[in-house]
Amino acid sequence: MIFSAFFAGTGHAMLTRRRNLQRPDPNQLAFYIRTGTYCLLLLVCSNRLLAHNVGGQGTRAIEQTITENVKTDTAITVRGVVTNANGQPVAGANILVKGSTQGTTTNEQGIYIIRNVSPKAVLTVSAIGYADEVVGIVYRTAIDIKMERSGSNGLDEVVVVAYGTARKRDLTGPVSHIGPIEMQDRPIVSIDQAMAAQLPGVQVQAVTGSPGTPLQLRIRGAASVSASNDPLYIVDGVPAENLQDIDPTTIASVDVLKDASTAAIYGARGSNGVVIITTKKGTKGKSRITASVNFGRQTPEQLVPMLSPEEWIQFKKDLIDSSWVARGRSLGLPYSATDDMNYRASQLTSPSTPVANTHALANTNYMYDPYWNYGTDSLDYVDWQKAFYRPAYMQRYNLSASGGNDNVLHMVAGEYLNQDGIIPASNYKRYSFRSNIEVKLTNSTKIGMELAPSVSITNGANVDGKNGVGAAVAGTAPVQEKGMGSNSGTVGSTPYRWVADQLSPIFQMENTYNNTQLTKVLSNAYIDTRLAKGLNLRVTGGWNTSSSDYKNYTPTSVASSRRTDKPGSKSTSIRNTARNQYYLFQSVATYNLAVAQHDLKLVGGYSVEQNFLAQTSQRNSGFPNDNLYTFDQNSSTVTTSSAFESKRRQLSFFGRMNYAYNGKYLVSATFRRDGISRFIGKNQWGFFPAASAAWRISQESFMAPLSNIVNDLKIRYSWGIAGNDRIPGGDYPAVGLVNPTSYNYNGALYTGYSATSISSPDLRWEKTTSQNIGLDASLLKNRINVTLDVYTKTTNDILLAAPVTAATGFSTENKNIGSVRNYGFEVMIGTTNISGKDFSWTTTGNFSYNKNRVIKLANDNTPIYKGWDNTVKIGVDQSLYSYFIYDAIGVYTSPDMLNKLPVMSTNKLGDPIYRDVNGDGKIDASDITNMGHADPNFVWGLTNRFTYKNFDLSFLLQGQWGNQIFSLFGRNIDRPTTGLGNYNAKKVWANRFRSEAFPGDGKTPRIDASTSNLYDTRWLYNGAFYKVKNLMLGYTLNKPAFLRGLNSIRMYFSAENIWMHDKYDGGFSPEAFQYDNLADWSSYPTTKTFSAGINLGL
Amino acid sequence: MKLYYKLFTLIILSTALGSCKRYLDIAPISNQSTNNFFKSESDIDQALAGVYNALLPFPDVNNYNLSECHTNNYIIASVDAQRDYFTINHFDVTPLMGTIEASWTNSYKLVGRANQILDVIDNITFLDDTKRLREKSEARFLRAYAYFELVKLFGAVPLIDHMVTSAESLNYGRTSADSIYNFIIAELQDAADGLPYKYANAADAGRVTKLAAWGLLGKAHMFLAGYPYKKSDHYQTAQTILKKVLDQENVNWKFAPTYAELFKAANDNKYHLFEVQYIVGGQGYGSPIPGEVVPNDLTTSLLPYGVYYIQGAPSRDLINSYEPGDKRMFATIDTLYRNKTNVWTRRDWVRKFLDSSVAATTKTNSDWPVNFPLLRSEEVMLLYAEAVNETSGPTTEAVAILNRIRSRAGLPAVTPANATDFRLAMEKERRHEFAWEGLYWFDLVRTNRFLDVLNPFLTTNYQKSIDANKCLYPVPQPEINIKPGLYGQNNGY
Repeated sequence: MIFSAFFAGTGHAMLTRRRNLQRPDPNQLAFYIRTGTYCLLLLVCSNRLLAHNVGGQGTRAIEQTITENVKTDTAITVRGVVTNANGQPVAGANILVKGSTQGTTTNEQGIYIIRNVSPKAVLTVSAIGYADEVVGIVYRTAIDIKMERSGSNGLDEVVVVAYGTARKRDLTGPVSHIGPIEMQDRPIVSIDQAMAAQLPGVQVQAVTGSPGTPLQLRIRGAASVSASNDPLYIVDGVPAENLQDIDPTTIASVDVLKDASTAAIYGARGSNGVVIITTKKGTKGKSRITASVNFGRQTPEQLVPMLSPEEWIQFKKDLIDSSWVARGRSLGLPYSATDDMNYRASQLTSPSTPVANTHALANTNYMYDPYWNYGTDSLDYVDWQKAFYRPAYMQRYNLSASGGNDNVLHMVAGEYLNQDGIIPASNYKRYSFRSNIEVKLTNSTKIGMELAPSVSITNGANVDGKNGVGAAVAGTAPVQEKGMGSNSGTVGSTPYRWVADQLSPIFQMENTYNNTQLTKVLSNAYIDTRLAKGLNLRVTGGWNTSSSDYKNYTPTSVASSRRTDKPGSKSTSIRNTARNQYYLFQSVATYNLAVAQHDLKLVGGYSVEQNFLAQTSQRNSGFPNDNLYTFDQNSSTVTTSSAFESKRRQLSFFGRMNYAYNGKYLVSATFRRDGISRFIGKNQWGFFPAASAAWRISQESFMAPLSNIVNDLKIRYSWGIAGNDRIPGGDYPAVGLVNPTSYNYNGALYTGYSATSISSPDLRWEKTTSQNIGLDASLLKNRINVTLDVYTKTTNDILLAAPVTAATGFSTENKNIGSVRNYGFEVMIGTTNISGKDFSWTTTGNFSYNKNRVIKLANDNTPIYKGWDNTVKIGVDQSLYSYFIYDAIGVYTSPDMLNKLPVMSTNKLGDPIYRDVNGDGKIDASDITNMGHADPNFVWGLTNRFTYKNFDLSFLLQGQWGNQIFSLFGRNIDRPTTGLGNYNAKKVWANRFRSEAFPGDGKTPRIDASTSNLYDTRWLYNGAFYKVKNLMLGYTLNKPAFLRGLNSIRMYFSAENIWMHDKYDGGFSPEAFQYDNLADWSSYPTTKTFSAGINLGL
Repeated sequence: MKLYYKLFTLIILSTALGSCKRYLDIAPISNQSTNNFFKSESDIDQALAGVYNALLPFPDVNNYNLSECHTNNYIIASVDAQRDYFTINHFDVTPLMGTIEASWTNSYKLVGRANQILDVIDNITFLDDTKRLREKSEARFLRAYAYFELVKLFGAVPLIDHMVTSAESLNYGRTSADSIYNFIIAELQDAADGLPYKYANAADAGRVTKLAAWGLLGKAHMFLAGYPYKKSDHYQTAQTILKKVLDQENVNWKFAPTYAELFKAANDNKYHLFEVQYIVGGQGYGSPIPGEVVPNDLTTSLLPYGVYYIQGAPSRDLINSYEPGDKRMFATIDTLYRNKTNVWTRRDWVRKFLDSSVAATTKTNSDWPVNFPLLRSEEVMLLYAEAVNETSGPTTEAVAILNRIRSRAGLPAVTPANATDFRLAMEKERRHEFAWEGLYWFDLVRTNRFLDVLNPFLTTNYQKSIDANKCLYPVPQPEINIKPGLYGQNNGY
């Protein structure tokens, strides 16, 4: 029989068929306990420990022997240390006696004591970031427990799902999870930064490096055109606008619900996926205090290569010559590029006042600066990007205390962050607090409150976008008047006449007051009560408020540059305030029933939400002086003044059923009915169902022979419908709005009104139906964990501010216009490569592929044009954001090429060659073709983590490919005729076509190419990149001898964005992609950050 | 304790459920909606200002970019990649160009706003029915003005005379240019009947008058009589109507003693029959015109906020065509300027509308308080003379009008020998009298002179020529794209 095998050898035999284990004698007590990583079998016969066996599916042996002695059942006291795989203490681990309310928590040294516990009891040990451990006491009084880190694949890991939690092993839909290990100690200011490259199917784009600005998240591709593609954020059960101003160190976990089956219970807002943020809670035990400091130094990740001053001068000369020849053409005179400056001066001379060929008086449109021959002796050469972007420092301090007793649990944390921006006079400061308190009122009722106030203060003018300073810096001409340099354009400075009379961006930043103070409170309070056995009710009231106060003051010296205006007279000041009030009232009942092999969980609830927005704005101009930026009616003129309010509401009913049979067969179904005030009449209500099922094949008996190889195997299928209501048009997208359109009669403004948007009463939800097939597997003694998902996601009734005929009197109407399908797959692999006593190495990688297709459009699939000058065409059977432009394949560098190759009627030598797509021998609008799309096909991330004794090292790699970046910023600095050389141009212009003898690089056309008003692939860049996103080295010491009273100390060095390979020179970052997701208009450069920090445990 | 929680929850639950229907119906708080506006007399007063508001972009787009820049009055010799006016000046217009789309949508935006009023105005109670008739007539005039611009630029266009939904709009293809003219004529006739000669209240200055309606009506007849419609019987009608305006001289309008004062801010609403009203203040109600065709380094005392556009110049062709002593030339154009470093520099530029006395008040580069004339009494005079010439040859009356204009410009009288000479004299006179006011391109088309005049210019300067198809602009491609097949494209594009 089985026991013969069991007792064979040294008493450490393998047990393979555990299901056959029978209890040989009622007096014998058999424990068979499966923990996260290994099995423990203990047999106790007649109060005598006969044997213990450790093994089963895991091979790790408990390194302890227990003397065979007889024990009594008298209650005992158990103590021990909980450590991690490296032997470091795990503080705050919860230790519960199974089947009772008895329990405790480890202290900072990882030590626990449980008194009055039965020697036969079983302890459950859990801690955030670790897989649960289950240990039988078995008459021992000293039990040290080793816990395994849960990677992202720990099967016993608890993930947070809608309105509840689930073990990963029980999931039936695709949910990705990251815990504190992935977030800790990074020099990040918001949690979305930590999510980049960590989660399969989740693309996090740093669209701007501006401190404190939220990043862009896309879960399984974009499906909407005009409606938002942002996921829904849920912070501790309450929806939040974004993840801004939430201290990342207070976050316990991030869970992403990726498909409609898991997100449908969020109904109208679920179709872009749901990001659930759970903050750290207090646990029982002595209060633990942690303090940490972090210092970082940031520099721009990469800059845009521009012409050097010498190259710019040559470039400017060519432009001047070109203008000179053109002037001759318009006057009918035979001017030539080789005409000397004295001749030009005589031609430009007015009869009364001659134009001289001198630096001070030469005509800058048609004549060279004589100083160009003398270089920096007579002129200042400025590398504006180097002068403007400067190293910036950041510091962060965190202090938190958490703990609790039987009645009250608390977690209180505070943060101070001070991050300078890499642009002058820009800074982001944040003060944030969190208090999570839970009080047990009775045995069945708890109340709690979670409160997170924060204040953030941002200084610095707008850097991103078309009119942002970022674009201006790169484009400012690199040559200035001697001694003016970076002071150019300021009061009293001498303008350099050959360039745009542009104010120094450094001066502009340093002298413009631009301040935003954002005060936020995220809060919720709840009552959780057990109504009957298994039936629980939680009533939550959530209230989020944010109020922003924007102040801008532009003094006369910035507003009017070097003119001699009286200080104050040209000054302008702006005050904008916005107050957002959101409340949620929600009741959720849960019912759990476990009978024999059946496990049933029901959730039902409803919620009421309202969002109220109030804004005021006032602009004043003309001040008595530049000393005060505040204003009153007497000291300045009100230019505009407005107040705005809007409101939206939502009512929701939802439910979920989970049923599991024998832990093998799992099914789940959810529904949600949402009503929302954004729509009208019957379109207000939508119904969003979902269903899913999973089969844990590894639990089947036929898999038993493979149990050494396949430790766990689950396949799952899910289906669901979720919605999207986030349409542009504010809270009233379906209503025709009337707005002021004034006119003046006889010089006096008369307020007029006109309908400015078209009424669209038929507007309805955008609905996404998704299907997902997934597989979760743990292989080779859990050393390899794999999650694989294949999905399709079809979005119908996509919302678009669709163009309508001008004959309606309007240009766009909010409409449901068609269907888009995203499909793809995701792989997540976690491996434990080496797991030794001193050394361990784990790898986690994720890889996502997504493809996006428009499958149907309104009006018989009529394509819709969007983007700058209709460069984006939305058409059936192609990617949603596809660029339709000319394909530039070279330059006509010889008359022969002009004669033989297809040409446009206007083409001349030195023009770009466009590909003759339709092969008709000529180039015209019909050769505009699909040159790629904006969304990446592949996104991947790879983390390697090493530990050696007290050291740990990790690095995170990130990459993407398959996307194109259309850069209008790139185009602006890449067309010399824009601004006529008054600005700087891209480096490529040093290798331009000059003549047949000097053809340049064969890609850059002549300076006045005739087709430069068209759009071609010279401004479409490959968006692929791979980079080292993070590198971290840490050292952790427990109970350091050099400082008594300190429980632990951790020192680390962390570097962010240290190396990147990309082909993008049309802007600052291949991730910076804005303007409706259609083009890069330039951005705040992303930063490289080197940081170091210390964490102390007290 | 427990019971209390349960009750509490139940109460909240039932309250929320009971009120859910009303709970979701929220009207906009800070905006009026089309459901509750357009209901009262004061609503209509304000909505009418909204119709006038739609006129603000017309001078820049239609008069400058699509008319003056599309002729031999303007030249851009070097490539400017940034702006459509380069392409327009070189006659390389494509249906995708933003300026073309802007012109089309600006006009229909005005039409839509007027329709919104005209759909409801008869059902709204006014204290004074005369005022209702007047406001209705104003709206009809403005709508007719927009259609007149559309038909001149594009020929056949969709005719929409009431509010339509986006679905309904797809039933309206292009209506023939003849029908559009018939509509304009009928509308202007009715509008003239309901409009006053003058507004009693000075605060109403700038609104449409009966004279403006007659003037525009006469002009519409002239266009229908001209190329390519050639319905020459309309010359007689035009003559009759335009005469009614001339008869009001010194009663309801005045002939300005000098040419230059016509374009000064101080003389807004003094001489012209219809003007776009611009005011200063940096709120978007000012004019961009004065800074459009000027040197980019013009002294800041004239141009405090810089140019609005930076390229192109009045052509030498225009400058050389002025007769010696024509006072209008230096009121319109200059060939020298003082730059920012106070150097007098040779470059041709347009100074009309650049009123130095108000330069200091501007707040942006497109914030000039100088009205832009859409219909001048001089034009009515010259159109009348032209109509007379077409029906009866160069009569003494017609020649006298021509010479009256010339005399103010400091030029000697002329005596055209025959109708053809008179036409050529008229072409030249109108070119100089109305230079940079946006009439020239349409005059060249109307008189079927555009090929003869422009092709030599285009050949010399741009080594190209155009054909008769270019008398119309292309229908904007974005409009065609909305429902392929609904609007056909004009020939030649």
